[in-house]
Amino acid sequence: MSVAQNTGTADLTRMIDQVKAIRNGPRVLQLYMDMCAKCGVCAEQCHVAQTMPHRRTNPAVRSDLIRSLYKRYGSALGRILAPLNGAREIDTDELETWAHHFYECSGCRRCAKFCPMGIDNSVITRKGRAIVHTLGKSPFMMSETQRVSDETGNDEGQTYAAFVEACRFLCEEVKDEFGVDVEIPIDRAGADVLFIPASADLISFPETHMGVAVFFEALRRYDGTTWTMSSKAFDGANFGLFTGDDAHMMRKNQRAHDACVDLGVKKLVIGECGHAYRIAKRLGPTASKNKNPFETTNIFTLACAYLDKGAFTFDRSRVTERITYHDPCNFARSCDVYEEPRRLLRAMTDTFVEMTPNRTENWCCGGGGGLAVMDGSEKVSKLEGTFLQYRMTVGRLKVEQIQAVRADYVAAPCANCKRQIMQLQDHYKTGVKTGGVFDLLPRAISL
Amino acid sequence: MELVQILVGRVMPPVTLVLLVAGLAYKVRKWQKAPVANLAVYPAAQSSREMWKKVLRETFLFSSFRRQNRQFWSQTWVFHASLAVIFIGHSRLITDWPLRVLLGLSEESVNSISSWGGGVFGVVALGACVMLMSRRLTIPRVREISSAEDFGTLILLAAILASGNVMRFVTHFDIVEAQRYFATLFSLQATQVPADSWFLLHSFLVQALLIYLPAGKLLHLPGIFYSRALIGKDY
Repeated sequence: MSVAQNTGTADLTRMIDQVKAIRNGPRVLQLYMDMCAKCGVCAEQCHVAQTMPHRRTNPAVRSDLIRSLYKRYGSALGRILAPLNGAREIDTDELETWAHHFYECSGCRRCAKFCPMGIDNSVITRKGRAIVHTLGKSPFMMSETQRVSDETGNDEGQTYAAFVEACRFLCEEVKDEFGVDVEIPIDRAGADVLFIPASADLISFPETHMGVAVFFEALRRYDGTTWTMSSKAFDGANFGLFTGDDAHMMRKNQRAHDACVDLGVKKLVIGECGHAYRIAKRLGPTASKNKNPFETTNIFTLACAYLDKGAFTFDRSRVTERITYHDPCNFARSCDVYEEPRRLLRAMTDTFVEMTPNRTENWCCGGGGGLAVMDGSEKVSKLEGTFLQYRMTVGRLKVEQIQAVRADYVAAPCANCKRQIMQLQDHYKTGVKTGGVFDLLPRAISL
Repeated sequence: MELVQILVGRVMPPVTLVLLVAGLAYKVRKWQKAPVANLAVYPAAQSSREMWKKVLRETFLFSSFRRQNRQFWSQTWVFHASLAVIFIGHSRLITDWPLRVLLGLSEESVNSISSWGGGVFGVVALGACVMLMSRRLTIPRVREISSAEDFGTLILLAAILASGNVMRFVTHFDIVEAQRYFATLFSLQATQVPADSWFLLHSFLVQALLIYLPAGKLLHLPGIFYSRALIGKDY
């Protein structure tokens, strides 16, 4: 499978230049280049290092790919100390190595939680991926998704007609399945809420979107809250976070911002998509953060606020499967959304069980950092086998965690987690169902 | 011998001081000036005050990984804590004013505390150092990330601790001599540098460590405050 391939000299120079530029880069990268003590704690806390015991999967080794070049090319002193500090010459196939190794880290930030120095290896991974991206070597699905997204405004390349049709179809499904009349309004100016899910929800995980539609119907009946989706920004997923392409990330985030302003909504509510929320809330351009004419929140926080008001009630006898909750890394460690989804699940059912570890210490499903959408070799020349095989290997800890609580259903509110965990259940033949939190809502709610 | 005395005792210290201070100042200033992004790992602090409390707790108790690896935690905590105690203990070379005046101890008790405390912590730190070294050698996932620098730093520290222990337990180095030397170290007055070869070795190694500090992994000493603050709170 793997083809011997060398990075061109021009590309090697550009890699070195970008590594050297870290000297004047963000504080976080400068620090991480300088201060790793090589204690080995990260390797004990990384699902990849634990399930794939190769030297290269050790987070400190992966981060050293950049660190060792930074020391060699970044300063005269580092060059002099090269025999001691691990500084090294750039390899002839450096770019191919990076394109592979940095896509073996899902950027879940679990190591940052336990590192004695507080080093967040995901930042180094993202920097490595960013450099790979500038040289056009991102895995095929990564760059292709970005291209499609830039062209059509959503990662799946759905047209306006397909989007409208999908929404209408889901409304009919809700009527058929739950007997509730719902509407999924599109481009309704002056609505209270603009709702943006991951557009994969419309195609791959429609149950989640149906649940959201029922939820908003409950809000409408309670206090007349109106919602809308935008035909220009119905996809919150943003691969710029995964490829390290800041420009793409900001471009896509700007769509959501502009849609909110154009439609004049009071709230931007992000659906079951952790990284969409992280970008909208924390990483987006300052213009769409604090000084916005709208508030940015997520569907769980919104739902809990209405739950507290008594806007709707649940019949807890209807959902009887054992339900557990998987914390998506971006909702959890990166956005502090821990309790809201759990409160909803506990309100909907009596059968909620907690996995261990959970919340901030949760194991990654193995699909983070965009990995979940990659099945084949994705033109990554150094990859042995496929990304699917890789993901099934590194997801083992997640499967064991789920099986330990004998869950029937895993609620994982993130399109990447959902896809990865579904595939894991198939691969390990567990028979456990996977979906979102809102998938359960239409069954449990009393309207 | 006299040449070594002059080199290690008179020539090297001002150079060491300049390199240490300039090196640290350069690094810290660079960090300080660099742009900061939102990187909190949640749950995070809600205020700067709360964040600094967290940063200090991490710095002094290493709490982030205590429950995950108690063995490594105790080795490294004992190691760092005893190094800190030993570092503070060396203030006696300059003055024992705080002990005598603030704590109201007699010179005899100061001597006895110093000899007991210094003796115990010197041995404990060396023991912890050896354990950390054996951890680096025996645990594959730690060994695979260890470079010459990682082993070298431990060896240097072990040599410093060992030479200090020799002075305390074997050659019974006279502290009064060192106190006299330190009193005038950075004055223009020419004073006698102690001729004890263990003292000169110890002093040389310590200065080597201080010179190296801003150039390598020991930057985690000042760096931890910055990196902990970065993931401790959103900006």
